[in-house]
Amino acid sequence: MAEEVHLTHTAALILQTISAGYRYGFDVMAVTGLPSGTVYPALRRLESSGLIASKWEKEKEAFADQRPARKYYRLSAAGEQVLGRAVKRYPLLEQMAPRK
Amino acid sequence: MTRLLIRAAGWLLPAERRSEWRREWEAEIWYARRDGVPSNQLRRWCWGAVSDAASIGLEREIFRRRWNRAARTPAFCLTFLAGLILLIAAASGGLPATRAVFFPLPYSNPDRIATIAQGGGTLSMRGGIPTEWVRIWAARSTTLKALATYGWSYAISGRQHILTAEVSPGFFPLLGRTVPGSCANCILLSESFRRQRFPNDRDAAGRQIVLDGRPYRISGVLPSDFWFLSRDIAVWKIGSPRHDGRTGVVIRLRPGVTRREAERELHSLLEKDGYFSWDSLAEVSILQERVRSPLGSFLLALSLALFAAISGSRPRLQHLDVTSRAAWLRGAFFLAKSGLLLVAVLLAGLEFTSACSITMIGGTDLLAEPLSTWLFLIGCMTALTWSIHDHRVRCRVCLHRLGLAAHVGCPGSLLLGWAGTEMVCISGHGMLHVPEMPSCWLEPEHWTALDSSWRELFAHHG
Repeated sequence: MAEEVHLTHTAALILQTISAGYRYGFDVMAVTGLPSGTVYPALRRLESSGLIASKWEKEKEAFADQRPARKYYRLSAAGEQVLGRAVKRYPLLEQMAPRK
Repeated sequence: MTRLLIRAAGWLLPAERRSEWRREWEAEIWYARRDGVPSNQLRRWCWGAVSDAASIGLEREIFRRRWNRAARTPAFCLTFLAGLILLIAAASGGLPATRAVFFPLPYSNPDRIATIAQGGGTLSMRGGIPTEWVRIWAARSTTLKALATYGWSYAISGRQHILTAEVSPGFFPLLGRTVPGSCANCILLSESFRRQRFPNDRDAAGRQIVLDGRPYRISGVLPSDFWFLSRDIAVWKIGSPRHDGRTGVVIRLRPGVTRREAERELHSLLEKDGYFSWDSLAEVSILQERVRSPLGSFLLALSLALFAAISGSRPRLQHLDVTSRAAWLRGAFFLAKSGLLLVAVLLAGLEFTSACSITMIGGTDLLAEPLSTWLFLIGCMTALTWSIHDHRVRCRVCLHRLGLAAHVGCPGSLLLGWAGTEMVCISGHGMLHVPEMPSCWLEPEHWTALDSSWRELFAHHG
């Protein structure tokens, strides 16, 4: 399925940002400068396409630190393949989202 | 503010995804606050929650499921019908015909204002009044407090044909309205015509308008609530109405004088003056009653439709369990639904048909009156038939429309097994069996209640 996915520049940038270690929605917004109304719907689409996966932080750990549990995103294997192709297509992607 | 926005946006999502979605956004906001994100930036970020929720809620499959479920609810049905009424009100420009029926006409003591038409056996239709009769009545009648005449014609103004009325000087005082003073070439405009011709000039007094090639000075604009016989009259001239032998006559009855008494007196005055009694029948029509006559047609049509509906549903009504709360709720929903639908029929009939059209001599159109009764009858029958059918295919518990219709059995093998259609409540409350051929007229369909153990099956359906 991943081979059939054609990414827009915005989606590729969000993938690259997650790959660079920014794993929360607001982090992605802060790095890319994209508005929340673009980032979150894109995250949902990337997740339903199988390019990223989300996971809730363990409630117990968050509770111990007296903070709410956070949902974080990571690239799936398919996502990494697609990102690899996207980076070839958009060479400046890596500079736009530097490693965390 | 941000929390409220997240709460509100969450309603765009399907129920099963709502709590996790809110949890994610609320956690993000908590971390953003902790990291010192300025509140105005945070508010801007939170507006994205609306498009995020909408993008999930409007996903084709989710949207289809939610729409499918919402369209079955009783609230949707009532909202749709209320919307239909609002649509009729908007399309008609604020229900002018309905307001004329339910509210008093814009004259002082409108129940004493009437028009007179010539009746009689030799006339197939009511006609205007010969001008010599008007002189006799004006001089000798004791039942009339005032009498005025009016005539009407079409005039060309620019490229437009407009309806103009010419009235005698006593016309507006008879109706209890004061208007600016008249002069030889002065006219009054209706408010709707003023809006059309002079949209930026609320007064328009002193301006000129050309009618049939002749210039007239506008002396004033009539109030928007004023109308007489037809709302299409755009221009009013005060003078001596063009007679051509006949004229329209409007009268104000003295207090306590009935329509019949006035008719008798007007007739006897003509007979004394030597007019042949068969042709000298004057028909007095109280204007308010004429305007309200479509309401009578509607009530007659509604009574007939109700009689037919109750006769057809009597077997089911006899088996109605009036002791349970669910039965009362079903009854209340049926009344509300049918009531809204009948109101829509009445409003559409009044506003979009000629039910209310009064001829320029004050009677109602000979065709319009029976036609409107038929239209109302067909409308009421259709409304009640749909309402009863809709009620039959709703869940007996939650009132949602039943779905997942499945045809069962073979109609040609009735002796071997049951044949018909089965529908289920999408919340799992029960199942309706509608036989192909009812075996008993008392119970054409059968409802099977399902216990709570079935709910799991329907939990995520819809």
